[in-house]
Amino acid sequence: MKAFTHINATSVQDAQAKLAQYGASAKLIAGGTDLVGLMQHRSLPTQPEYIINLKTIPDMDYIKEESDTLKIGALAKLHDIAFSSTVTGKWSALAQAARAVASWQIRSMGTIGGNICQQTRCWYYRNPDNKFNCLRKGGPLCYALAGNNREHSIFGATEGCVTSHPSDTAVALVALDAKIVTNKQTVAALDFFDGFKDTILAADELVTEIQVPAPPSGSKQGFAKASLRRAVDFPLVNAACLVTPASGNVTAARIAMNAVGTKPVLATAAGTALVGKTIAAAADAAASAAVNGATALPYNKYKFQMAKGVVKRALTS
Amino acid sequence: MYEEFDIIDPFTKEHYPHSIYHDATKLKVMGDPTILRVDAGEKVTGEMKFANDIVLPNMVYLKFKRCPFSHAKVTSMDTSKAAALPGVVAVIRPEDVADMVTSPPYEYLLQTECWLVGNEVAAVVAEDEDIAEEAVALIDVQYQELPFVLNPEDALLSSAPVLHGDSNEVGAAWTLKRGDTAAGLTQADKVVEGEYHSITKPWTGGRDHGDIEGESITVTWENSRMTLYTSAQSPYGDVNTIAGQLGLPQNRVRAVQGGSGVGFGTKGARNKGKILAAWVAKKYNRPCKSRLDPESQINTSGGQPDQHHYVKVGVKNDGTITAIEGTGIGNSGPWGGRQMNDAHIEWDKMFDTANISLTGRDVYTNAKPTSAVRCVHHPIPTTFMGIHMDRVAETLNMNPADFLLKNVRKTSGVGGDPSNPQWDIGVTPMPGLLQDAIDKSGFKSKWKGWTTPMSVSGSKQTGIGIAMHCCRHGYLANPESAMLKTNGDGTFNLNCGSADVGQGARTVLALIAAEELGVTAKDVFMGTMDTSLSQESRSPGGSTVTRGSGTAIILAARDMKEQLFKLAIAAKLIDATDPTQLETADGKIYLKSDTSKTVPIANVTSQQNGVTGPLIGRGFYATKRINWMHHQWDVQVAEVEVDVDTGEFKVLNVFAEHDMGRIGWYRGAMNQYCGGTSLYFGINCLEGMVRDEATGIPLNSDYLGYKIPTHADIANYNFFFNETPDPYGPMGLKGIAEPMGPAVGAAIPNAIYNACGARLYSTPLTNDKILAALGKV
Repeated sequence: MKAFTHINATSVQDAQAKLAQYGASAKLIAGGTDLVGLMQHRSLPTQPEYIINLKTIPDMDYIKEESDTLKIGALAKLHDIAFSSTVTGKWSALAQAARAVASWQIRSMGTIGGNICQQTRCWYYRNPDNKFNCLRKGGPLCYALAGNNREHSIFGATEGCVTSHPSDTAVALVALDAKIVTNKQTVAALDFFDGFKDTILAADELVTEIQVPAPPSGSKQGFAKASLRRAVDFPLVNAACLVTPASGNVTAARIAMNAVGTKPVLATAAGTALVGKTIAAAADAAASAAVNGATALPYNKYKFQMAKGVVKRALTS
Repeated sequence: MYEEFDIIDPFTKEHYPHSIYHDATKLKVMGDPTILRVDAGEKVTGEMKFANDIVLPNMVYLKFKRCPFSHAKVTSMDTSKAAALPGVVAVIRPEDVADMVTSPPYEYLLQTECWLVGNEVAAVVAEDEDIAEEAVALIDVQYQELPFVLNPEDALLSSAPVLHGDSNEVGAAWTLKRGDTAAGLTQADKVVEGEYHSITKPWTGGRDHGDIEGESITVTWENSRMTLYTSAQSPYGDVNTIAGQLGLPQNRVRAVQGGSGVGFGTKGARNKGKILAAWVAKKYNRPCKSRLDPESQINTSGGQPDQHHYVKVGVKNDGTITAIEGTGIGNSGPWGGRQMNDAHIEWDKMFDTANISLTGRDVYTNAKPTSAVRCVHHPIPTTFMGIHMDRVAETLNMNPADFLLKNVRKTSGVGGDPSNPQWDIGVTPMPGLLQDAIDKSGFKSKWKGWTTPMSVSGSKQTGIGIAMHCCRHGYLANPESAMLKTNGDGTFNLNCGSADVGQGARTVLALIAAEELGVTAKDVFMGTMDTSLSQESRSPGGSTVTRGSGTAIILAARDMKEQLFKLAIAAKLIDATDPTQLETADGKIYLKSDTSKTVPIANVTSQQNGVTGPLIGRGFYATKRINWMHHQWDVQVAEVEVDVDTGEFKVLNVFAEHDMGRIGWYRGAMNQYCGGTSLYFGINCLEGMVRDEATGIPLNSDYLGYKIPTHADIANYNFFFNETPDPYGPMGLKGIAEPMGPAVGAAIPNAIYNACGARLYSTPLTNDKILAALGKV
């Protein structure tokens, strides 16, 4: 790995100042499970010269319930979120999503902030030694579009790129209508992601907190994930839902999917299909509606059916 | 104490005077289920030192510059920037090592024409690994890209670029013919045809070893002697290769091996880092480390070959097979290798038929080179014939278990060409194994009919499938040698050149010695490998260690016992006049005519320095016929649960019946079963190199993208050993490593079909294929 300067940030303001000072030559690190892989494989055109360590910022790994809102510091470990009684009780879809990430060891290193800010897993983008200098890296074309796109988007391209977003926790945060707090703004989770730049974060911006509102009483949450391998694998499709009420005719439903588009998808038509009916009666219709408007690439049409299956599992499990 | 049989080779009529066939009831150490792996503690605690743990003062690091194209010529190379980088000791160009050929006639240590992604074109030696990596990036290589071909079928087209010589075929096609296949197919009431592929579009093929240790070597050159701290599968192979390449006598090259992660067939086969690190260590007189990163390992080291199979099976309405016809085309990668040379021969040994015709063609491609991956090439045909026979049974609407029972080869003796002793299959226990597997798994009651699931719960459907596998291993087992040395306290050291690559050679070989010496397992210790302290014996490969070194160890133990007896008599420790009057048991020497007369072995060895000096027992045994075949037999039944909404499946239970000869070290056999079955589950269900077809560049060359199974994927294993002592193996043992598991590769797809009606014709059995087979894509 190319030598770099390691800087321990003392506060969010300090991290922001360092980002402003070093610009594109700096990268933030928390758990490092995403960044270090990219650096080891020399996947990007340039290697960072400065690594700004966020783990030294005090008191940013909390998990707490305050005024009916779940507040999670950006440095909270995925493992702690998965097994926190606060989260597993009222926000079970998020706990399940955190539990579905990678392996015990990686969840013990990886943070929620890192999980939602992670870069694409596209196998062209990640290829060692930057063998495919693709659109996302400032290159001329999306190699997946004409190449091996088995794991890519069925909801079109963003700026010509057909990657699929790999986060497990993101889909739960979108379904639960969470807010992402940065040092500059608070945005809805759905609006936090960018299909081409990963996130909407500015160059000197970082995530500080995740806020998840309390689900309506009597509501039901679900999370489901399909992957080739049962552990240490990114989703081929994942889905999360928040449906009110759990039994009886549905009055409101939020269904989100990920790994099917360049960013998490809120399947509004699927939610609409549930309203006025019981989950059992309308799960199939909702699952079908979830892939309305999807467009297959040459090798990923199977994701239509897989997404339907995963949405149905999230609704009915 | 032991019964002994003189074995007579049925073909050469030669006697095998040293073949040993012990009475199981008298075995003391063999089969003891409490005996643990000798290095279990070191491995579990992390204390064990592996090759890559070796870090020495003044050490330099070696890194290769690799070609990013599937086929290209180097047109220019500028190494000046790399050489100028502070911390770089040397940059090595092809012309610096032009005479070093690693795999003649096409593969050089550094290539000027590159035949695959990752081919080595230059190397850097630097003070640390990061500097070496940075310097590699500074080497500016210009290439002329050339046409390439990845798929062996495409490589046979007239339009395909030819890699070497006049044709992409590696030698003449291999054939096996018996009877009249055309007539057999004509006589059939039904002929079932099929084609099966271990590579599929979008390109997924090429199975890697999943070597999580990674290949590593550190070489020192001190006092005119070279030491290799190596992760090799065969440390003696490293000594011989490196001594030969550098022109050193073998007594100046020593290989030392600590722990070893795996050895499924690739370590050392074409590791250029080893040879170049040795060259660097000697030239610069500094220790040099070379470590193969996972990407380069997956891209360039030998793996299981991609295969295409075209099969016809003729059957009568009563289920009798009238003919089997099969053509296989296999990928040999850029360096060749005859992997389709008899790849599907095992079909002949598993199924009774008078008419069989098999053809195998090996083809050069620019894809992954080939080597054994826990067996040379038989497991893929086992997967595909297992699926095909399930289809044949379905065509007849016969229970698949009944179909296999009807057609399993029941005759012992010679399969294939009777005049060729190579195809001696010995006694076949397969019919009994098949019946046992059917009974113990409850197959007949669980199997509800074709595409009738065992159970349905929402989108989850369960099904059951069965398949069998046989393979030959443990032959070609020379040299076989061993030495035993006494210590004053009555313990023994075993010196044997068969390396422990994680399979447990150190444990099982010491057990053989302990059994013959009449002492406990802990009284015999075999250390990690140091070739300066041991002597060459059969190296791991072909599941030959137990078979290959075991007999020599028994002979060494007998030589040792005779010397112990003479010493006991000379020192007047026991009332005997001739060694033939004595035997050992339970750590004591006893008088055969009066077993109450005993002396502890420790009392004898404590005398050794006053009478004879330390005792050395020697054993050597040469396999008389190199083609002697030891067959292993395997039946597996799998139960799977398929989610028909998503195409996901989980293997719930596997029932396995094996006959691998006598089980010498029970926990080791369990370990081999679980490892082998998990490996073949992975290879058939999850694994495969994914490539970009336009460039041939691999897209998943790390162990996140290339998906070897995790514990979460592993089924509940139920396994049973049917122990038929092998008459030719030491104490009835034979090789067991490779044949453990391949049958699961067919039992799983057959179970998927039973669960949901998704018939799969290619591996890996990915979700998208299942959904497509269900008509849902």
